[in-house]
Amino acid sequence: MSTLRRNLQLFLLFFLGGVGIFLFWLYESSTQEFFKTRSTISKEIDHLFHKELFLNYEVLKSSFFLYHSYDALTSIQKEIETLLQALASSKIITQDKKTKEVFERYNAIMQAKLNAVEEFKRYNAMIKTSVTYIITLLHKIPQNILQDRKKSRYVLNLIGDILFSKNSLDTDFLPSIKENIELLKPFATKKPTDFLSRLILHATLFERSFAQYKQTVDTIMDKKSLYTLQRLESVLAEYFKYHHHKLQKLLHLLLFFYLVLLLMISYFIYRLHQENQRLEKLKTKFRHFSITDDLTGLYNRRAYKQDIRKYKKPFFALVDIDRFKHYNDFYGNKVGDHILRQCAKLLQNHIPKKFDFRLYRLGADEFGILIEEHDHIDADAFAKMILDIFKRNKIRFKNIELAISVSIGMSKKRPLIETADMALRSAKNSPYKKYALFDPRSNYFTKIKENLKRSKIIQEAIEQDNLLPFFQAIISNTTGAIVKYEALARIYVDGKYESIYPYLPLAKEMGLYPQITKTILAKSFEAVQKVQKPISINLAMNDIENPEILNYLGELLERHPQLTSFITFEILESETLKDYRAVQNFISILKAKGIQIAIDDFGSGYSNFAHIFNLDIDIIKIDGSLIQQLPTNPNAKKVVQTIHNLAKEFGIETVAEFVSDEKIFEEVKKIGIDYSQGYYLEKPKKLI
Amino acid sequence: MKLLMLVLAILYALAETAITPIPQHYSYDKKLAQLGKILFFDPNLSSDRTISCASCHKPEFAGADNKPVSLGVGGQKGDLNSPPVYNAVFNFAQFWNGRAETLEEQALGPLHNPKEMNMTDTLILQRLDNDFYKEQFKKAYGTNTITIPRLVKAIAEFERALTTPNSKFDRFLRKEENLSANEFKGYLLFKRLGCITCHNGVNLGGNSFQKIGAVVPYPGPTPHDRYEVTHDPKDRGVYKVPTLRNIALTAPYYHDGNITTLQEAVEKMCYHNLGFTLEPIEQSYILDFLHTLTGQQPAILQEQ
Repeated sequence: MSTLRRNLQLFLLFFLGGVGIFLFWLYESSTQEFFKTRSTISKEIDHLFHKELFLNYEVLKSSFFLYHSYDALTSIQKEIETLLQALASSKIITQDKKTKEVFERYNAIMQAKLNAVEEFKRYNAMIKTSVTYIITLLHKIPQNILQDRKKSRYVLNLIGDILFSKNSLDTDFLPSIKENIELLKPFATKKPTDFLSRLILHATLFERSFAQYKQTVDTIMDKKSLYTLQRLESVLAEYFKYHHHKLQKLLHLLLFFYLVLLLMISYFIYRLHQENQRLEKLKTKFRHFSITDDLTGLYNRRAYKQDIRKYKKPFFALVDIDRFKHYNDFYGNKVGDHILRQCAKLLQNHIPKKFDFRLYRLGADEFGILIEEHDHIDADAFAKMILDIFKRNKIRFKNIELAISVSIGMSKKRPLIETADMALRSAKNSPYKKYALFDPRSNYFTKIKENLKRSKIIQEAIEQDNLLPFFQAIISNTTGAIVKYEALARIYVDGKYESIYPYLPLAKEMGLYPQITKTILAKSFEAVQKVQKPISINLAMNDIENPEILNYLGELLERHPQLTSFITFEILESETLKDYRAVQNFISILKAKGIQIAIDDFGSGYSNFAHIFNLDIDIIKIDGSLIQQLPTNPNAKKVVQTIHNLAKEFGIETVAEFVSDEKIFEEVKKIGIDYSQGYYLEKPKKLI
Repeated sequence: MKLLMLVLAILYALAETAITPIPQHYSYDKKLAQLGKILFFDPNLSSDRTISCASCHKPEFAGADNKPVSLGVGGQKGDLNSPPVYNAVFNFAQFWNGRAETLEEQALGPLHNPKEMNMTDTLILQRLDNDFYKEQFKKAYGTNTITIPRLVKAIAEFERALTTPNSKFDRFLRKEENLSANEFKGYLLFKRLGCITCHNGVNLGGNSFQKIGAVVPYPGPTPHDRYEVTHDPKDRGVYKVPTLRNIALTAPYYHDGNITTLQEAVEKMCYHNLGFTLEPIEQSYILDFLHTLTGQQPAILQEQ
């Protein structure tokens, strides 16, 4: 699935989710609004209905009783007005055309009614004032009228009709009232206190306003408003029904939508699951690749590093193909690769399954076998078993039989690769052994420790000026006199002087060797100056090739030109002369300054006679190992004799080293060697 | 005739009390009312700083004043007699012609009227823009932002507190005290003569509009009548029925303030709206009754 497509799908899902939420919100708010509106409007209509009935009741009460507080009526008027306003501003009524139409009809009727109430209050006041007054007037009815049958009949008829009219709210008696007023009028006087004129005044007021009074009451009592309100209710019911239906549709849509969404999500989850499985497989594959060697299919070093942590008691064997480089160089990489693959196969197939082993390819031609040592593993037997595998199964390449053999280093001591490697090296170094088990008691770790200690000593010796030359006398074999001293470097360790010899390989590695040489040179020169005796100083080939040392030596010689006749340089012959010309050049320069040149350790194995004798040297120091064999080994004697004779031929003087006892000294003298040095004659010592 | 008397007696008996006492405890927001009180008495609310609300609605005249028509800024005369602010809360509408529904609506009228306080909203806010009022508004509303609606609401709230309960008549209605014989006779006359048909309810008026001179036309002009609001010809000369509460204190009377004494007011009202003249003894009974309508001074005015 492409990223774009997946993103699109995700976007679609989110979008649909958003739409779903929106739809839900819409439904929720619509529903809420719907029910709220419905309940509000129903309540309002209900209130209106009751308030109107109450208004009618109050109006009737007010018209019935001669006097009655208008307070209640007034407050109902206000309540109705408020309700009408609320309805008028309600959303449905402003929006729905049909509802609006009915409401407006109703509102008009109600407004007319409210106005009629105000009018009613006024007519009611007038009617009632007159009626009240007429009734009160009865208290003051004069005697003459009571006695006059005609007048009294008119008065009673008039008052009776008025009360009848008012209490029946019937206008039919108004003509009768008018008639009686007319009949009474001739008897009335103009005096304001006159009973009849007062009666006539109020009767007339009543007669004039009663019709309108009745009309206002009728207007108020008219049921048209209530019917219209009912109509409004039914129109609203229709409206609500319609909207309820719409809401239900929305709900169905919503449910359908959610169903679709649910299906989509299920589908995506399914797809995601598939994807995950695929990824899981891929991951396993990648993991496999990352810990496997391409060529052989064995586990690689990374795998080894991961695995080794899990082992509690590991046994580890490092199998190295002997002279693999040789095969590679000789037959080419193709064959090399073939060999490696075949070796891997052999190991994989032939190591007995009882060893719960794992195979690794750790280096170019190194295989590792890692086994958890549940039962004791006999390393010798194991190694022999491996060797046997290679002996019995020949590796061929295009019918060429390749005589492949292996060496095996084994270890049970962590760090396994390092220790097994040490064991392997020890096996390889030995001409007889093909395998070795790392011995934890071996000095591997102590050596490392020792090296660290020595490094520190060298470092400190240089820093604290603890290096100096000791001097060993060289004696003339003919006179027995000391003719020269050899400067031997000493290092001051733990309160005593030691030979620097064991420290030199380390010093070379640490790059401190030139520094040591320079110190010994300087101090030897110092000694020569002081004692004014001939001194022989050792120089290695490395020193001659090192410009730093050459420069330093040049400086010393320039500073002390008067000492050159005392100096002999012994060039160590233990290393091959690499740059023969440079050495020749160096020697000729020194010789020109009157310095003598000796070859040290001559006969120790490297000697190239032709070179040596071509160099313009003065002295040959015969190797101590030969000298020490003189009393016991006739061959050694012959070699020494030959060297001496040869030297004599070239006019070169000879020195015997390591003369450690009388017998050797006697042999040396017998051969005719010119000079001797050794512990038998004199031990090295401080000269200054 | 006997039968007629019986019928009338039944009718009397059936009539429930058309007048109700002023509630002894009328609830209102004390904090707002306190602010309203300060505003009510502050002449800074008129353009020349001479007139406050209280200038025309004085406590000693039960929230009205003793002039036929009130004087506004620069001594300008108004057109109508100042209606009492006491118990105005019980009126169904405010102003003589009822053009304001609420006390809040009413309060802005005099403030904006050029003949009365002659203020604009901007000027009002400018006058109140000081630390004192900011603090007062903060006390009342919890914020020191002064707005016109807040000002008006505070004044209206103060006016809601201006009720005069426990008049002798109210105590009589509650059967806590008896009216004197004459006062009681006056009360009965008040009913018998039909005064009560208009002067009913808690305020003995203030709940309907009626025509002055319904029976015998009133001779004087009728400015700012109900017609101004409804433009209905029937509403000419129509005013809100004034309250009779504290009527003994609110002379002069009528919309024009041309009636100086209560006795005259009763006499003229009988003549113009009831169509007869009272006998002197009846008049005195009615006056005795009207005097029982004087209530206690509003409690908020005693408070500091």
